[in-house]
Amino acid sequence: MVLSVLAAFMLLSAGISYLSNMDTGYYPLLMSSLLTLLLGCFPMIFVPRTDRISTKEGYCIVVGAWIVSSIVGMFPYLMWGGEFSPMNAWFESVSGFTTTGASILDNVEALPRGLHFWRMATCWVGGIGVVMFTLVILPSIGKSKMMLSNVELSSLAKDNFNYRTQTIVKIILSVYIGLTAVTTLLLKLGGMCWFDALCYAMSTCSTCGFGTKNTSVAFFDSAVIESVLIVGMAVAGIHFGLIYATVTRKQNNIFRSEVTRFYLWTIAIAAILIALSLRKADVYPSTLTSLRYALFQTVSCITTTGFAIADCNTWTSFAMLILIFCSIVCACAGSTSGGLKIDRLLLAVKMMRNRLRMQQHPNAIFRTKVDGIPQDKDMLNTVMVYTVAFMMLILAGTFTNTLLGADLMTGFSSAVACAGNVGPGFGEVGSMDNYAALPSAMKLNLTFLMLLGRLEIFGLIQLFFIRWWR
Amino acid sequence: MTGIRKRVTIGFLSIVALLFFSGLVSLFELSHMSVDIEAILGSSRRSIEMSKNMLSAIHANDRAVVNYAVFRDSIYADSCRGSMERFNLTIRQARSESGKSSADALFDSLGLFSDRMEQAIEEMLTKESNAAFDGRKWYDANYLPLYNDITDGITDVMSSVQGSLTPRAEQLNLNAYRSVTPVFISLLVMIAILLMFYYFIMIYTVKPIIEMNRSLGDWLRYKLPFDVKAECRDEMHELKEKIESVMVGAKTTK
Repeated sequence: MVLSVLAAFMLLSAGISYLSNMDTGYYPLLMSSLLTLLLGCFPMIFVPRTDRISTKEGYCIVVGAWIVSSIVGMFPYLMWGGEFSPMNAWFESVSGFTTTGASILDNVEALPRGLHFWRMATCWVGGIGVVMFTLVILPSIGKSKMMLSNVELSSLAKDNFNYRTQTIVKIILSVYIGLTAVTTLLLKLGGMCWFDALCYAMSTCSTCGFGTKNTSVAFFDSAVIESVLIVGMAVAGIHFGLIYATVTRKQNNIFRSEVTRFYLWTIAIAAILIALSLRKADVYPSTLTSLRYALFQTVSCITTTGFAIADCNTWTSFAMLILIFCSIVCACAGSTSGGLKIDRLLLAVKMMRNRLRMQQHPNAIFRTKVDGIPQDKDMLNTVMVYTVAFMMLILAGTFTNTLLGADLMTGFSSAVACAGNVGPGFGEVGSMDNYAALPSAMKLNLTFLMLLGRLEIFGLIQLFFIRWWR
Repeated sequence: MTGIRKRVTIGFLSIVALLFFSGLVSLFELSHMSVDIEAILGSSRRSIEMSKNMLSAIHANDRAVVNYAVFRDSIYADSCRGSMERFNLTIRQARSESGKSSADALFDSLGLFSDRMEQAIEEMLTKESNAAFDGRKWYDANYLPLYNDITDGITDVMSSVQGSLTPRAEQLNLNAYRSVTPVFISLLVMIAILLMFYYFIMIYTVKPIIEMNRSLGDWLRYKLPFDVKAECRDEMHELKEKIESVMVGAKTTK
């Protein structure tokens, strides 16, 4: 079913190629669409419909959907040729579906329009989660959906919902489509052409960071476009359920959410600190310009989008460190962003505060609360385990990257950027560079990090344990 | 058409469609490549033909000049002018056919040499009536250097036109890889579908038959309960239900 949706997007991209004077992307997209449709429809003829899906099957469906989508997503790239070798096509496809936005393309502008749209479609589909499409399209209603959402949505995100799974899917889809439509319109009003506006809106709402220009957003050099993108990225980094609640004027909205407030404060403080550092080092001529660049890059990193308006490699070490911190922490759970999620950071900070208070008052009982709701111990344990696992993943990624020949900065920042699904890092993979020059083995390692990051580590790892299959 | 027959038919049709598709794509790509190769060969053939014509014209001119200037054979006077005109015509034709802006400079210099040679021949034709005119000396001093320049120029033009075909040949090599890719991908998809087809047939058709056979044998021999799972709502499920009905019927008759 997921493949059928991808086939539909490929066909849509082929349509765009056809409208663009039948550019070179037309036949590759059309052929890929047919093959994907055939591959997607075939199991539907044989496999009987079922209302019950076990947790194990749920895991397999989600992880399988991501991997198969990434494989099928390579077809148009491979058939088109150009810079796409099999490894490059795999990297670009995984990067799109995991909404990482890291690219191997030296010359993005050489791509035909149809293929540009397909790149954006991969991140847009990936952003909402292939599983969401499965949930909407799967005719079975009941327990099976909840089993799937256990894997796809962070457990923290799920707690904020008080609806049935079917309603959740509807909410997420309406917020996602609405946000994309509004961003497209605003970007068009900001001076982009309709095609670019749609592509950048899709990329913004999925917090992916793919662009249609070699110099990303810097190409437009427009404060209006940058402002629209800052707001778009920031909103896309907030829990979709909260956005829906705010739009429908429900009580549990953005303004009341402690996590969202923490997220917005983090952005503000990080941007101000970076701006001050840039101004002090005289990187930009005025404080306002420094703030403009700092705010854009901060929002871009913390939401894991990865758009760029400046080469951050030329910034101060302090500014780089803050951006790396933002790339690790990332935005709210329940959004399309990757990384550790700011909810976990908030909980970790509160747990540390409680620990200190417990040392001062050994007999007192302190509960860790978010929005006034006490969090149970299992949840807090999971948060800590995931935080440690994420850090270990970055460390392992850095070890492997340096082993494969990368320098320390490139190895570390690319591991952070890929595990957190951010995209650009520092060093050789800076905001104005790409991943083309990296060796194939390192690209493969980074795609593995992207998938691990997107599936919240344990989702993918679990499949490799033989005992789990028994 | 329902159940097993439908599934098997669709399975085979999918494989046939993929085979047809990959065949069609390879045919399409091969015809594209054939057109490209034809174009490259045509260009190469034309450039060789052009150079041959130019060289033939300049050789004819050389023969006429040698006969007229060195051996004083006056019947070659018209041949000198005629072959020069033929040479100029071949340059113009070659220039228009080459259509390559990078060869323009070479054609310009070839034209310049041709003009100089034309001028030298005209001067020789007017001087020839003079008894003191030494044709051999004039040939060696004035004509031969220009002749050499022109033949070198023709070689340069030919090398340039042939050299311009190299990137096209390299592109063709790249296109060959690209044209293989869709066929390769469709073959991979076909293998995936074949594996799925095999798996599904085994799981939903072969396995229930084996189970039913075993379970029916157990019932006949040891009167063990008939316990078979047939998940699909197809003929296999119906068969299982019918066997169960027959068993129930057999029990009631007794």
